[in-house]
Amino acid sequence: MKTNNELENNFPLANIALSKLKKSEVPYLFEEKLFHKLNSNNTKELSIREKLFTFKFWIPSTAGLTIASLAILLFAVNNNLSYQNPFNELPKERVDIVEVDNQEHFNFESKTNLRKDISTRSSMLKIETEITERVAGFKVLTSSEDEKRELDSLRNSVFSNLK
Amino acid sequence: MLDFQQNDNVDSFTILVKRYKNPLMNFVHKFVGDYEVAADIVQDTMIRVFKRKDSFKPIGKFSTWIYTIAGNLAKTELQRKRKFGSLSLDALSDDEDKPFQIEDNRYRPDVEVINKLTDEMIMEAIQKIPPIFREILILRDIQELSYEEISEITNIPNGTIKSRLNRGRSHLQSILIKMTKD
Repeated sequence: MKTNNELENNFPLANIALSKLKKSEVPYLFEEKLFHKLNSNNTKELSIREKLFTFKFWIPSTAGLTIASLAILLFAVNNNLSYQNPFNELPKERVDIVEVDNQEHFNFESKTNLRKDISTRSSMLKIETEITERVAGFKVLTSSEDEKRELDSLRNSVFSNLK
Repeated sequence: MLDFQQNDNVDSFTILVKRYKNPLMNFVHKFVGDYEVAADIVQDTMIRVFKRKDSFKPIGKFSTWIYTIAGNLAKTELQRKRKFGSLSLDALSDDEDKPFQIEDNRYRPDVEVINKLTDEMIMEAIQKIPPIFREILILRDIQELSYEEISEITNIPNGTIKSRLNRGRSHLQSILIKMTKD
């Protein structure tokens, strides 16, 4: 072969080196690894539509969503309970309660004010009942004539008293 | 290959793997210089053949098509290594037009020098050849492919292949002389 002769004649050391060089062969289990790789690649390349209709896709997705929802729920509940938990740090004063305390009306969140409010309400009811009882003897003037008549009788009685 | 392409026959693909795995491994290993990396490249080549079987045109030879895929993957790997600085491509220039001093043809190695040559030394010397010459040298002097096949694989005209081959051999000769003298 002409080319080999060229190599042999012009580059003898290179020729000897290349002829001495051992041929490389694939590692052990090359084919098994190749087919395994091919299978895993095929699985990865499933279309989105195919993935959407497989349980393999749905089960982890649903599980993930459930865990996330539970975590959010637990977080929210924990946040709401933190004011009532005696083992927590000192509860912070709620601004809305402070504002409500300053207002003069019923406040069911403060026991002291509630008691005060109840006593005020019962005394008010007592006064109202007394007024109603006293007012019960009063004549009710429905027309202007009745009013005039009443005024006349009052005037007469006043004058008779003066005489 | 045609059976695999037309009938999607896995057995035909297995036959192709068996036939080409070792020649490709030999080529890629000598080209990139790393056994593990070479094995991965050969596997990736086979995977590409499997997936892109439809892009193979029966007008050409299957052997040249598979060598082109392997060669391109190997070049990509070399570029990647070069980019991250983990591979020394040697001080030798890749520039084809730059004049290169041809070794003295009268040099004849003696038995002592020949005995000194180990596989590791030869591999090291091959890795010091610039990649554009190295690829042609391996395809021609190690894989023993014809100029026409090499031209088809590399998409380079015959004349350029011959000049690159000469440059590659010359590089190898000078590197080996330097190594055996040290």
